[in-house]
Amino acid sequence: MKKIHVLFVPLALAAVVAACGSTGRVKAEGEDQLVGDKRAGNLTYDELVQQSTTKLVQQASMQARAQGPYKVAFFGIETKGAEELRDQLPAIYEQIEEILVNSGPFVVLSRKAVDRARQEVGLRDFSDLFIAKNRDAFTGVMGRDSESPDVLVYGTTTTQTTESEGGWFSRDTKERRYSLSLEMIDAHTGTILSKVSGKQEIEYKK
Amino acid sequence: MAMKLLPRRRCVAAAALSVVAAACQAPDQRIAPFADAWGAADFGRAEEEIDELIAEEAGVEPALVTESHSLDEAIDPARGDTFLFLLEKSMTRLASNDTDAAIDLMRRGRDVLATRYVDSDVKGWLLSAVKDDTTLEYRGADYEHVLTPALLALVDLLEGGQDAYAYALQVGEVQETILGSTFGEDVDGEGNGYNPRKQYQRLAIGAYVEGLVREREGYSSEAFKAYERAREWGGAVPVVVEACERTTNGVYAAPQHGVVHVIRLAGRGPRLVQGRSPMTDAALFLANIGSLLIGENIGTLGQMQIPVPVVSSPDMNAPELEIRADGQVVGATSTLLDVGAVAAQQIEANMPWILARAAIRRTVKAVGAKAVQDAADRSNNDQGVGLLLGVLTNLALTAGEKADTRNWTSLPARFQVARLEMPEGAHDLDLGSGMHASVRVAAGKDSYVVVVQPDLSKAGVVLVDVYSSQPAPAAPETPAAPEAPRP
Repeated sequence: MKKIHVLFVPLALAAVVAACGSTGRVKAEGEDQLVGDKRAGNLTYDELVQQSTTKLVQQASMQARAQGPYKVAFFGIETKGAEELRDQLPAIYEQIEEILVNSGPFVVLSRKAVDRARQEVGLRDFSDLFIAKNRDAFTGVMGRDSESPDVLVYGTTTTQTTESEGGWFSRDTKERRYSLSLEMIDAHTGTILSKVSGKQEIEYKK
Repeated sequence: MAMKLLPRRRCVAAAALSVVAAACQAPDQRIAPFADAWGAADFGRAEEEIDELIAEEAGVEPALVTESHSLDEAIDPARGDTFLFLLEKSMTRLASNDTDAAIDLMRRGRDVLATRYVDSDVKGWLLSAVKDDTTLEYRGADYEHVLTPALLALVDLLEGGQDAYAYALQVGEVQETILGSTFGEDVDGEGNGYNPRKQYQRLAIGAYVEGLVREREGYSSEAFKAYERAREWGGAVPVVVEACERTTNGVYAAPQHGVVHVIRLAGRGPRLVQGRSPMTDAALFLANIGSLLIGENIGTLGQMQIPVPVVSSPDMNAPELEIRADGQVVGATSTLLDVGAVAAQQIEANMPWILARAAIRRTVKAVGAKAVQDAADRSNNDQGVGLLLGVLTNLALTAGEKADTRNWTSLPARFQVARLEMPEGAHDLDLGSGMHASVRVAAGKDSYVVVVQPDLSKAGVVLVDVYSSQPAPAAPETPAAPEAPRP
């Protein structure tokens, strides 16, 4: 009887350890996504991209539809908030491009070509696009590859944070508002064709 | 009787000595091969050494570490000290101009540091005092918590700076969290204690980078606020004083001029080595308050010198760098942050708690040794055996004590920065020691040059941001070599 006990303990321990190991599962469609406990996750960015890009397309399509498909150079998104976008960026870019392309009047130019042209003309900041010389240099390089854009799109993320200390029965709380604004400008004139934004607030408990 | 006991005593002594001898390598000895190679600017060897440590710590195949540049998902940064080694690895990647991997590795390190940050749980920290400090999870020195996002910001500038502002803000967030910590402040609920973090000084580097990014974007008033914070925290560093002046009364740059920021990671940063310290009154006071929480009484007698971490900073006085173009001096760096001094200040501020923990630990061990002695006395008529066993047990338990000398060794001794206004066009900057930077300066634009030079007597690595680096000249077409005649 004692021998059974002796064997049972390590087996039970092994079972517990095994149960604590890494696991993975495929989430069902429509199942709730995780909300990050320290910084924004997929849910936040998916929502922001969906909201703002859809608005952008709605605002810009009326004009665009009348004049045929426009070639869009998507410059990217810059961070003006407290959280870096780094590993979220490829997915965000894909989603924005997908919405733009599927909206009808836009075709999106290769992002690699856009990045290369930006580097070639030293176009680091999006605000550079409002200077004719910079736009001309950029469209010139893109045009050399027969891909001169008609419109340029870029985005900016910002965060606003409010913190409150917890009491005896509550934890410290941090509320953070995330926003993504997208701008579309005419590649030839630099005129802003459309500017929209989406917002989401997340509450973090420390 | 005495003759009979001798062999037994020898056995006990041998056992005790073997315990002492078995005390494994101190952390600073473990990292030494990497740190030495890094300090000699032998980046290839440093990377090999750190890869071995990562594989060992993360429990993965060395080939996986090397092939994936330590980025494979199977390498768990939270396992043991893996994240610390990943931070070291990030510097070797930076030295290889692999900024992408450097950023990913630093982010992994930063995320583990964030989860291990201890704000106010003094009791938990004291309860773990029975263990040697080196057996605890490494939580990162507070300056390492701050410098990780600071370095991320600098490296990100080389990639275009898309996230640089976010990282600069994180420096401020982390810094304020640390300085706002209540750790150790009120240990017994009656206001007794000591908060080491209240002794810290704020670091100017995050605010400077924040100002730099804002100024680049044309927001002079916001840039000024950030620079002013940098001045308040870092003192009258010439480059910061000039920045404050420029953003209030000046202009970004003269017409048709751009700005080159040279950021030099100069010299070998602080390394922790083991030293010894006597027990201090402040530490005993804290130990006695702490003992109320953990239910032990701290003995004040017989406290021998305690192994403690001591900061070694061989390049603490790294000289500034003079920068030349076309044979003319165009500027010199200013030290924005002296990492060695900050590390030393923080270690000193934390010393009372380090010693207090050691005092508590020794008390617990003494209680254990007394138990061994009592047990031996009960089973042996000779009182000497019990005493000897007690002394040897205590000796074995305390002789193996090691100071926690873990730290991020590849940090520089100093962060030095220079801001040069230069006419637009291509420039070759002479950075001394045979180092050059080919920079394409655009009017009204920033360019970034990062110099990684751990060995001040040798050339380091010079990195230029992707928007300012000169396009590589097209390789001349060489005629295909004639095929060798077959034998």
